[in-house]
Amino acid sequence: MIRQIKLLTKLQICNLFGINEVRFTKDKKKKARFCGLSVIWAILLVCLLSYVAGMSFVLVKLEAAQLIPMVLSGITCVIVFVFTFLKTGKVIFQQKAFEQQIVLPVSKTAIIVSRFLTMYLTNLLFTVMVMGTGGVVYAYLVQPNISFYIYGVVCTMLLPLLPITVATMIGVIITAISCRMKYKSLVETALTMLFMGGVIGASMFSSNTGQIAMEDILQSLARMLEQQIGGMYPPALWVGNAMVSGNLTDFLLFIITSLGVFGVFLFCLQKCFLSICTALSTNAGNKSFRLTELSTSSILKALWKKEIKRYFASPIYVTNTMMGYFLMVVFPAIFLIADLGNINIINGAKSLEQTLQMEAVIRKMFPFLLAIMPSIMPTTSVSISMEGKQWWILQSLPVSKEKIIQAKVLADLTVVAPFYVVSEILAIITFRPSFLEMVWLLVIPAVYILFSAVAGIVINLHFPVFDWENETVVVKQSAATFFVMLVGAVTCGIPMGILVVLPEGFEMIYMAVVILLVLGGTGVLWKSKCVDR
Amino acid sequence: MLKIQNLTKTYTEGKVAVDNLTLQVEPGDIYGFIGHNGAGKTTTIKSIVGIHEFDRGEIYVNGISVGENPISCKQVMAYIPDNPELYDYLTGIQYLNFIADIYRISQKERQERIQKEADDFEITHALGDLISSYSHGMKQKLALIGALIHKPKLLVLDEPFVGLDPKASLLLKEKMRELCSEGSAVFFSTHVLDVAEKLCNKLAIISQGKLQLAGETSYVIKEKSLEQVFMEVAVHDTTD
Repeated sequence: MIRQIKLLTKLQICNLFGINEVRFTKDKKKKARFCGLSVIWAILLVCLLSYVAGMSFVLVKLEAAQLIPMVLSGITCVIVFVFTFLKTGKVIFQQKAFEQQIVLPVSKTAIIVSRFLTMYLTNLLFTVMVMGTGGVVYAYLVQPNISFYIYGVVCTMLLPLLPITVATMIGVIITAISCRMKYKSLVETALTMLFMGGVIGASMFSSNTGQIAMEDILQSLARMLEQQIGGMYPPALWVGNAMVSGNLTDFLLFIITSLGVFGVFLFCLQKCFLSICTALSTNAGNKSFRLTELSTSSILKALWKKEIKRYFASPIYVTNTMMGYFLMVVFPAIFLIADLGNINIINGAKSLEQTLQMEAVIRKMFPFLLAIMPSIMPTTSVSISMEGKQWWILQSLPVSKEKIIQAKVLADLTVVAPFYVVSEILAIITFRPSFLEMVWLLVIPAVYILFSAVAGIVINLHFPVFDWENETVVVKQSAATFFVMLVGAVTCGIPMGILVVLPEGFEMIYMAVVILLVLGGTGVLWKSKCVDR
Repeated sequence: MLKIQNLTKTYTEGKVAVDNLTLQVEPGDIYGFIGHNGAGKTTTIKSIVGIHEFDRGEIYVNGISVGENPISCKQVMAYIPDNPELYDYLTGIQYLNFIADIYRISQKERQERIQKEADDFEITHALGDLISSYSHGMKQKLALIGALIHKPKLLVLDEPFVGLDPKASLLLKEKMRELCSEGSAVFFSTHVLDVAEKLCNKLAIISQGKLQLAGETSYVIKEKSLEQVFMEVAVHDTTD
């Protein structure tokens, strides 16, 4: 069994991040692209580790060094959970790989464990980097005893296990419910979005920030962090106690919980794995089909309809791209529900925003805050790659590249439109803006949505991936996704940063300039790659 | 109908896939394109239908240059690859309607043609199902209906008989003949030499990217069988 697991895991890992393909391809362009991307990843990794180190230093300065292991393990687990949850169904129940592997003399358990192990190993890499950096800072400044190191190594190795198991468990339940239904993709998407919405909602209402009273803001934030993470995810508290205080009970509790939950899950999944895989590959048939009157559409409308159907047929595509749109609505909703002006965080009558003089800043920044969310993952960022092996159809049909791109951009705008409208209504109700503020509130997110849709397609045209077997590779791991996120964050983040430090009285000109620049950039990008020559 | 002049295609790794290939397909021709694996058949076909760009040479479809006016060429052409991956998330009828929309076929015509072709290929009952539930053969049949829906002047097929049941194979041959009798042309690659010999009025043998032999079937075969000719020409060439 161990040998089978090793072989199957090796097979999965061998082309993780496209390493195997790059290793053996004779295409120099592909190799150069991979190298360039690796350098950017390395830079981002350095940024992330610097951020972790900086955060750890801040906690030490706040005399809250004991929180470092707990905070870092809590944050790591949340990130691991979210990213695993959004891809788990596709990884565990990979259809083509399942058909290839099930005919081999390998056990079901080996197949499941190997798939699980692939997720675990990639997440472990991330966990080791985050926990390692924080651990080094803590060890250097606090100089803990030997138990910190022993417990630290064991806890770090086991840390991703629990969030991956829980995320996979929920993913499996969702897949199990949806796999027997006619519209399985739609049901799976709806359940995933519902769950994520529930998690976000629950964390919003459990935050309880209004009642915390302390003498110092920074200390209160550290205490708040402890309460939040400990309340939301107790294993992080156990890890913190084990590493910092050498608490053996918490250490054992963490290990038993992690391994126990995984063991129970594995046992249960074994029982239903085959039936879920079979149900996923079976489609509800309609034996009594009769040709009725067919509708006709223009070329653009036909392409647009195809795009919309393609989008909603892929739960992983929908959940990953719609998360940004969803947050676009959640964000103003938080301000509306929480009524920021009345939140008392500091002892006395002063509100947080009054204390930090934040209201004006938030009002100013809000158009950009709304814009950044749909900009980081537009549907267009992978819409070319999502054509996959069916790309030949569009290539051989008498349609221009421009029409194909128009349809993809239009589909993105169609998906984002309802979210844009709802978020704008909520923002207007929350902030009661002046006429000019309303203009920025409406126009800035709109131009950024357009920009990101066009930038997404242009970047995807530069970094297309067609020879994939699993949508996760395109949606979550492709170069296009990464660059679009980067471009979205930078193009929104920089103007927002400048706005904060801009002297009074220049806002109107500044906003107008930003709008013109973004529209200009959109035009340039469109002409560069989206127009037939 | 199809004129290929000095077509040369080199891949980025430096491999010459097609080397100075010239051939001509006339209206009414059923033209078989034969070669061993990796000989350059699919590369040639993908260059004709506009999937691959090529380095040198010219391809004309119905007198129009593929390089200069690809959309006009595709308007009169249809293509089916060896393994037709179709949109799994559409139903059969949605796929056919999509293709009909792209070729701007009127509502009445598409209704009639889809009904007829689907009945002929015996997949009408499955048109309401998602393509993901189709077998390989059913996908092939659906792709064929999609290709025939606009009555193309040039039908280009890559290994069309792989995965088709005997009845569907026979039907496809009939459809090819029917199309050609109406003045269109069919250009297809195949490994099934027996079918090529009996079905095609013209043949071309390609090996290592170079055209070895081309012309009327009787001229290519002479007194021998196509298998013998192929072994002499193509296999001999690869061992040189």
